[in-house]
Amino acid sequence: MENLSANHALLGKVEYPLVRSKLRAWLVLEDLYSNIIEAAELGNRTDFVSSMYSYVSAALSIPTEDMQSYPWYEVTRAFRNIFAVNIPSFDFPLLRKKIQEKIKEKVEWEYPGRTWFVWLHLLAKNYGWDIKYVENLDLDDGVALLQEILLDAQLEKEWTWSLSEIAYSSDPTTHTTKFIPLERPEWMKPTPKPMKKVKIKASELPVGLVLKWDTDTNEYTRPQ
Amino acid sequence: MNTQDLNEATKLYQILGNYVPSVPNEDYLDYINVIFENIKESGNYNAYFDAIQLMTGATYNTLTQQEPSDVLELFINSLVEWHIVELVAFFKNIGYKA
Repeated sequence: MENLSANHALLGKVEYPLVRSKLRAWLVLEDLYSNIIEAAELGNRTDFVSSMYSYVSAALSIPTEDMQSYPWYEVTRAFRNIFAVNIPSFDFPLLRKKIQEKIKEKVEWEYPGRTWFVWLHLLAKNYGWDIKYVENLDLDDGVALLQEILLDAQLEKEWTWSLSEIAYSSDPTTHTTKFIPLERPEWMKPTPKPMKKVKIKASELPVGLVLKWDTDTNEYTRPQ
Repeated sequence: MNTQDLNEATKLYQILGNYVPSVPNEDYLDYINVIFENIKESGNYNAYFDAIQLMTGATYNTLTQQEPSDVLELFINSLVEWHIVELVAFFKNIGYKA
């Protein structure tokens, strides 16, 4: 049987009400979610299963060891419902970064759970809030404010950059200088627009039988 | 019937992931038939026996001594009990490498 509603998780015979996580708990879940996706993409069963168990157990405050006693479909349904409850309300550009890019970005000073401390550090430094206040922030507020902090920092860097000599290249032949903008992080770059559909005149269409590669069937088919 | 925990479900997907239909189908019989035909076409009968062993706990020797039709019935019933359509949908959605 499916879980009773999207706001509940059913494990064994116990129904757990799902509440939207506060900032710290949400960041823990996001880290675990990254681990789940990374393990899934690598086909690493041990890490995948343990990260799934940790995710559900962290959200529902039940011991990880208990998770093995539940059928897989209860665990995955619980995971799906927990994930749905914790989706940010806005499509924040800061969060659009793909998991793969996050994995590549891992630095030498990384450790499990560091994300929370990075966020705490930035929010506390900028707003003067204490740990308790930051950890209980609404997740939408937390993400929006962190994006503003990072945006401010980037614009500040760009201003400093624009004042330096290295931001300009000169062409001795034309005696002109050209401004080289400071590279922006991925989430600040404009999203590529989908290509426009262009009508082609019948007279310019290829002659003969036109076939299209169908990725579902892996064979050529005639377009409808 | 073996325990249906997530670890075993992941193993099952690792065994059958390459043979499942690309489109979900609520008709279990059709769905399982495609899996069976895909395994047959690949010639990898280990996948067939490994999946049954994992789901039922039966040994390879026991299975090979049974009538092929009985083994096929066991395969079908076990996949139904293991919610195969939902299992495949979950692992495909999460991007699990089969």
